[in-house]
Amino acid sequence: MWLSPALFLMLISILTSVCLVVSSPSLFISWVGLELNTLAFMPFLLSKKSKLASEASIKYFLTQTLASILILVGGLGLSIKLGAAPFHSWVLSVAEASGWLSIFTLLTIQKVNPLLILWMFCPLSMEFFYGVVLSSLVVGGLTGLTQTSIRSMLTFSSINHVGWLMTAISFGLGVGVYYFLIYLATLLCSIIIFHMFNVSHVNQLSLLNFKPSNQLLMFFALLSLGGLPPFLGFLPKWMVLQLTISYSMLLVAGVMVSMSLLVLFFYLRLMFSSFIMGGLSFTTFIKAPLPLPIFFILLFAMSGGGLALAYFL
Amino acid sequence: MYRFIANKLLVPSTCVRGLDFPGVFVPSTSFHEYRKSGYVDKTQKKTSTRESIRNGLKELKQEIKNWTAEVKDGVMMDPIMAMPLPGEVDAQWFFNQNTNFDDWVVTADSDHNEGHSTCSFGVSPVGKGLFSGNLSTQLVKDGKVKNAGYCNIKSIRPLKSFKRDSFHDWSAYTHLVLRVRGDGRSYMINLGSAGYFDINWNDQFHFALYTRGGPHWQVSKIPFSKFFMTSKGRVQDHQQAVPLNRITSFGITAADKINGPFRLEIDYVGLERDPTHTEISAYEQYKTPYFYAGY
Repeated sequence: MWLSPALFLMLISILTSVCLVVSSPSLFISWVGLELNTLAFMPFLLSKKSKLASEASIKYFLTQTLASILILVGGLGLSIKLGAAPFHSWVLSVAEASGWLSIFTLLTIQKVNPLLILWMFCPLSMEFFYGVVLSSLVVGGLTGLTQTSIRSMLTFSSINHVGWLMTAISFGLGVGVYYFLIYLATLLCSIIIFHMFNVSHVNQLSLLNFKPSNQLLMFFALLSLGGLPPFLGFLPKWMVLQLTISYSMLLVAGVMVSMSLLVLFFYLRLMFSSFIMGGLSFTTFIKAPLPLPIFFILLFAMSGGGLALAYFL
Repeated sequence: MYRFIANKLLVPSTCVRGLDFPGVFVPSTSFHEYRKSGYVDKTQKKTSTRESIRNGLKELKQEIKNWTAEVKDGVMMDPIMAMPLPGEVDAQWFFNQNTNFDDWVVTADSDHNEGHSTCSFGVSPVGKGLFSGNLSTQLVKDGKVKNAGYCNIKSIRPLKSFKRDSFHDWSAYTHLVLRVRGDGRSYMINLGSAGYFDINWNDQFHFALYTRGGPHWQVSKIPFSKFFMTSKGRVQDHQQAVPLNRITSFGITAADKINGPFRLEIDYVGLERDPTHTEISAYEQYKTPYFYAGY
């Protein structure tokens, strides 16, 4: 489904828009790149042919158009584009109605252009952006606790990560890119697993035919996404925390740490329900549940080996 | 002035049944200005702005209490613990003497002078819910009505605090369970899934329930995958699964084109999760290869 020629063209357009924003000398050309990005993402949302998907695509279009207008008059539109709290309500309804590839694109690639424009043209030391960062961290952590749909959980986790990303990018482009790439890798692991096992709700994790080895792989992917050491996902959070403390941004650091606990809590609760209700048997522990290349890529991305290599790089 | 011209001069007579037609005449079947397609409750009194503000302020205290309760519930509730166990039926609506039947909208074609059917929804002699009445397919002689004979009950849309529209979230379940005692007639089970935009306001999912006429109760366990989608009563070519996290109403319609009385007793309407049921939609999806135009 996802690699039809039309969607491939849209993917190329999205990547072109990223290149346009990266290389643009002015805000106007960056804005054109943002518009191209919005335009090219619409067919991704509509690839899943349901009435909820068409409703989600209209909501996405209207929100992004409003945000684009607001960008021209101020930085508020960038927060809307990023899906940062308190402008995050559209992200949930769009993500709920989308397929896994669309969600992955929405939560990662669609954030690149607004973050780049934020770094290039907006002073991130403004109080407004501190407010957006803190509210994203808090909303992402607290609201994710009440969710039972896995798409919603990943969305709120992403809103939490937007807070981290905006903080990272305020310290420099290198830090922001580093955080983003590791977030992309860890999110990709989780989404590949959810897509291949066709899981979209918490009660599906306790199905009788869900192998324990699959459960463990999902467990590690989620812990990495939640930022628990020794997994790869811990490294960018460690880096951002160290920078915030060295710049005496203690309130932001405190909120980041406490909200990370909440995000980790709802991932752990998800997996505990699957372990307790699904049972655990070590007899199938050794078998690889997925095609071997994907299995090893995932393990490498999640593991401490990846962490160590990224550190030395 | 524009509404006068649109209503009186431009609108074809077949589209107008003395209803409050929208002021903007658009030659399209998908534009809806009003949620109820022009069917207005004529018994409802119009209130002035001042009276509306006064009534609103009276309800403010209760709405703030409701909002506080929602926030507390959101913080305290553990959604994982509330997950249904396989084989257990979580009843959504019980029908007995304590049921508030005002939470159910009861309609028939005679309400707007489009037929002669009548119905009611109350307590049965054995203390369960009773949906009964008389179906009549006799047409009203106004030259506009082509079909007649329906009676319907529908649950009201759930509301959050401050009268915000909400949804029933049934995404944890796979089956709808009804314990009913019918009269041998068939009834249509309707699940409303009104969307945010007007094009989806009239989307519903239906399932035909066949009842036995005997003295024994029947427990019908209906998978959500068997429901088919319609919009304003027209079955859609492109079928999809019921959006279980966005259910706006549950209803039962008696419209089997047979003249005469009908009687349906309902004990409860519940939900069940069956982990062995993996079907998403029972209907042909018409998936075509990548290089075909359109779909």
